[in-house]
Amino acid sequence: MTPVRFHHVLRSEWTKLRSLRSTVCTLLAAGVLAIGLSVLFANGAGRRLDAQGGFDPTAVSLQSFILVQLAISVLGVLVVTSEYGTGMIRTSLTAVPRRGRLLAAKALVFGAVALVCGQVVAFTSFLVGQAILNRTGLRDAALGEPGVLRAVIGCGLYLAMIGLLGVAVGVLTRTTAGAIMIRWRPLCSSRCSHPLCPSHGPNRWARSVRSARAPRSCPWCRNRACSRRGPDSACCACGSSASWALPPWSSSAGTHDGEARSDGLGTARGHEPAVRCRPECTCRT
Amino acid sequence: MIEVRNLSKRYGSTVAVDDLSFTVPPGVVTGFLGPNGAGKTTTMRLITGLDAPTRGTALIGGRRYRELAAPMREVGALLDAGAVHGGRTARDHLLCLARSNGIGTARVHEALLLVGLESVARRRVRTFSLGMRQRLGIAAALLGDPGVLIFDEPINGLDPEGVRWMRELMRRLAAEGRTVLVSSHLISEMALTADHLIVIGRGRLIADSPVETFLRDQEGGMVLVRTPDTDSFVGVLESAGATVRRAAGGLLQVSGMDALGIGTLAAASGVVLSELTPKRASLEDAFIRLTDGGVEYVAGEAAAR
Repeated sequence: MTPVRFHHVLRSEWTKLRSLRSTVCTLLAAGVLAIGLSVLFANGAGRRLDAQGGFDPTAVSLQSFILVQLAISVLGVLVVTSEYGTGMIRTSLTAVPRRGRLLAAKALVFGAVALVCGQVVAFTSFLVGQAILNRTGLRDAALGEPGVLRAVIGCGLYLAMIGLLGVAVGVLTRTTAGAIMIRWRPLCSSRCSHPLCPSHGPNRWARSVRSARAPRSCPWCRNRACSRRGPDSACCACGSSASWALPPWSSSAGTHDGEARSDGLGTARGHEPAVRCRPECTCRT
Repeated sequence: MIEVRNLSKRYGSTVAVDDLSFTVPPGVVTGFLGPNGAGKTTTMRLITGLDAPTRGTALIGGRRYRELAAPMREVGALLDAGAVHGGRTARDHLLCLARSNGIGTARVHEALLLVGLESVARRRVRTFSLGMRQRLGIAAALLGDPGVLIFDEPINGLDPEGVRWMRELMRRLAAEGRTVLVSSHLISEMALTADHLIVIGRGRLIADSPVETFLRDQEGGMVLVRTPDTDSFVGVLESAGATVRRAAGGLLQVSGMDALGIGTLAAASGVVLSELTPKRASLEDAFIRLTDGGVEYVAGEAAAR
């Protein structure tokens, strides 16, 4: 009798993933979000930001990751919690009694799927965004330019990582609702300065929270007076959970450009409406 | 062959399984009987490695479940028909399981045919009735053509035709030389299906014997006798050592002698018999008497007795 090998479990996990409608729906939603938001950003935000200088066409086209990461992290959570929720885990563990092997196969298969989808999302967003920037007569970026390819690939890697974190939280909590709460909280904290972030609902509330906050030191050099410190250090993308995952491409996202040297939180506290907390920000704090 | 040795499982202060030891031999259907909460399902979860025992071991063919090289090809278990993702089709569900143990796709189709679900193979399990899910669970258990089968309450939710099919399936599987362990709280069902009984109550072993022995041990078999020569035959029976009770309508309840003995006596003494009915002790009665102290949840009336 041929014993069960790891590749058997991998194939089983792949079958599990592709045989659920929710997987396909979530990935489609991620794709639609990515392309749709890239179109919106390139059309709207791009034009306004270009007038202010400090415009980074790569960053503009990759902004969609902010909502796409929510979809990917939900899928990561569901890969595990749907088994616990339905009781399928008991059947799965009877078939593959070695827990570690089952979890490894799950993480590996989902990680691969998330990586491929992340890259597809990143490249599609980038290309769609650049096409629109080009059509509207704005400066666009090509993959060959310095740092651009790295930024796009990094965006896809980041999405895969966020998906795997979803799997991890799913394993720890075993409940969909709990895991999604834990997962989304750091992705969208009230400190977020991105105009798309759901935490911005009541704008005034968000502003008052921000103005009450003490200035934070720069996450890179730990210096409070560092000029690189901006709201990006505590935003959707780089706040708590993601700051370590982002540096490779965040540097291309326009934060550290010469023109962007405004002390984001400081100006927010100072209520100087003419100065923006960061170049592409539209929140007018 | 399943061997359970000094198996115990404790959840906090609750003892679910208490020093249980038994062996399930191949080739026969072994009924695993006990009232609700007796620890049947826990024992089966311990055998299939879903729970870790507090003490003792459960071995299948000499190895623990987690050590089996290809679990589904050695043990087929149906513990909970509801343990399925409702969003998957029946075929995909079986396919996931088959892939995980290196079982061919052709076998998925065979298993669906075997349980009669081939016409709904592409329907989502969510739309299945309890009986259909039960059949799907049985298909999953049979997928790897295993030598050991463990079913937890397999006839729950099945219609009469399904119950008969299940009974025949279990008997057939045992006749093929497989080890079959079936749990139930329905004694009458076990009387029809099982050859051997393992009875537990409050996690403890109460009886482990063949069904026939179990019944004989619990109550000396009784034979109903009707004859025109009631008075003379009572004398004959009593002098031969049987105990006779006169029931209404000239009926005699004879115990301490089997039907063959009574028939032989009647022939020897030239008595005409109009009825000779061996009456087996009700398995229910034996079960209730045995597990009386072992019932976890007793209804108010019974508890007040």
